Amino acid sequence: MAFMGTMLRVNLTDGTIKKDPTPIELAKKYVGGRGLATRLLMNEVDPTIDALSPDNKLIFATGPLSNTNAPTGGRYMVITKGPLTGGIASSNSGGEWGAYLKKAGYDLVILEGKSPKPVYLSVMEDDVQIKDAAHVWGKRVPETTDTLIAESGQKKAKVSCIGPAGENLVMFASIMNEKHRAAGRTGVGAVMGSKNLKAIVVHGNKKSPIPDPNAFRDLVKGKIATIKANGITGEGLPKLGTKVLDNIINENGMYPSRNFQDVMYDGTSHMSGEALVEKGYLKRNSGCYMCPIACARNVELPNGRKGEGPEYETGWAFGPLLGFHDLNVICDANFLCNDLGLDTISAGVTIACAMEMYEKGYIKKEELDNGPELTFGNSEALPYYLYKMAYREGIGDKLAQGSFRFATGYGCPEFSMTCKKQELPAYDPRGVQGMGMSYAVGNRGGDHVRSYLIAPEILGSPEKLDPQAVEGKMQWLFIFQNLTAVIDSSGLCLFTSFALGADDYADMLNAATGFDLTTAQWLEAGERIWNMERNFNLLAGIGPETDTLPRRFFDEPAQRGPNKGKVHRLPEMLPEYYQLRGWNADGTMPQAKLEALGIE
Amino acid sequence: MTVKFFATLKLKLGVASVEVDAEPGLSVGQAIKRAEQSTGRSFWSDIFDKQGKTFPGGMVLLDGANIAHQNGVDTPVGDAETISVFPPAGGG
Repeated sequence: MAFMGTMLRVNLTDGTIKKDPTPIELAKKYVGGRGLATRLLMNEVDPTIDALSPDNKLIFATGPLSNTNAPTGGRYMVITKGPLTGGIASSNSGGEWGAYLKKAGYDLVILEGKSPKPVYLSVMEDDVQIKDAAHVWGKRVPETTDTLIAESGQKKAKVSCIGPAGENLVMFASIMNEKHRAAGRTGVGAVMGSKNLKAIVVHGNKKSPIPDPNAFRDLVKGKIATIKANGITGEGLPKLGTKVLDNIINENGMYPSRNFQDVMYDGTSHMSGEALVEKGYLKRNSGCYMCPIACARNVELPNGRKGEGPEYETGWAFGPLLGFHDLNVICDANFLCNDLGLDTISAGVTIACAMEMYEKGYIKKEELDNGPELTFGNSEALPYYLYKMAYREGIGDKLAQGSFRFATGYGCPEFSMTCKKQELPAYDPRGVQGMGMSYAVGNRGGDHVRSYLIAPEILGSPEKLDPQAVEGKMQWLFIFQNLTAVIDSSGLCLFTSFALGADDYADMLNAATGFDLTTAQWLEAGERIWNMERNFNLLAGIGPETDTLPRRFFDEPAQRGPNKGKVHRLPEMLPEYYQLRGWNADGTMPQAKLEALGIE
Repeated sequence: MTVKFFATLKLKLGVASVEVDAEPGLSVGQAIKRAEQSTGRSFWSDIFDKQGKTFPGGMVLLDGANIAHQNGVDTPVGDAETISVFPPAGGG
């Protein structure tokens, strides 16, 4: 049945810890992980509350395939109401922490209320305690991690924690596990900080119960072979990691630079994934729990600094987006964000927004407190303002709210490259119509991993679509959103989907859980999850008027490259998307749709 | 014209690009064959299947436009200046 059968409910206000049965009957409808946790959040939290109030709940959730030998079965998700968008927040991380929560015996942890003082949660199988965290409050992620592992007495204990950014309620603070892995997006770290919860330490040796372990093992072997035989997951990602995309996306004319004012960057080859190898900075690759892909980059810089990354999005947000391409600066800024617990995409896009505003005269020099000028190409500014954001010092206090609130405060929200107030990732919508729609209608705001249409539109996987075509794209978006909800909720990594299809996930989920659902039924579960998240947002006051992109992508055509003259064509696609979803023409959700999907 | 190599292909060949002669009517496939000769290394089968179609995750761009949406390897190079060749790769 794959579930451990128990979930923890921790009230941080009064210090009580309960062990409740995991509502496994709901897993047939919501899979687990992201889906099941969102269902529980909907049951227990009013979507209109202040995300940083004690009324909010923070759920750490694993999927049924977490802690199995299914390929990449180590992931976990953090679900809550997010401070950045004000809607559903849901962030996903790799490493080993997710598997170890289940090894400790628990499928989920629900955190309620607010501790009167800094604490951390220790989960050592049956021994679950809330412990004082005064000695690690204020510490960065690596020191916190090392200290709490030592205290646990278990060398293999895994730590998921916040850094100073989460403590200081930076609206895009991340939650970090194993020092380098991030539940990066949607500001889940700020919610953790608002509860005075520094970390969750997990350890155990329990196995997930599988109905027929031998049959499951044989099934999984076949899926791993498929992943290894695939050119992307078997060759490209292991050799060069996600950063291989720099040149791909730039050559395709959709690599945003200078806060999306341009769609290409001339210095890309100097900071690309290939450059990371050629300059000798890349030392080795490594993988998360049970991962046959192993795309993680282990880097050592000439200055001796070591760490993981940068991933594609981070390298872009800390380089070309800001108008420079110094790999040392990019890697160091990545390390700094991991230490401080900052989401690299939102941090970079927020600084890019500030740079455009500064260059156009909206921010005065005296506001910088003698700090580096916020001009594109000034790499000195990056680490300086990252630090200022994390500690909310000077103008960093405003930047810590994210680019939308920052720019709106100066009366110029048009410079914020966000959807639903979350910063956009590294694909210019003018060059890829379907991906642009994915941003516009995404439940957690501007985001690339909830329906990665770059796969078909640019990479040709599973088949090649014309990135500028609009016909038929919404059907792809619909399927990708639903399938991704299933993959996330199962506890697997989205990268497996370059090689595996919906039937493969259905096979593994059925074999692990003992359920007997068709592929269509699993995909319907994905559709149910998507609609439930949408409903949370609608109830939170995030209406269909937010299903759009920044004006720049409609009003300012791409200036060069293969997409020269192109703008995004959202108005041609949005009505079709609403229709495919079975929603009203105005984007609201009919009660009948919720009932048809069995969403209570 | 310039034929540029990326990702694992660039690392394999050890060069970022080569120049090839491109007379009127030359196809993209022919230009890539000339690039193979110029580098002295065979890489056609790293990029294309037996039908001459790029593997998923691989791509060939003619001045940034994917030949998959033109006539594939038979696409004439015309007055384009650059062919970009990518073996299977991906990320996110």
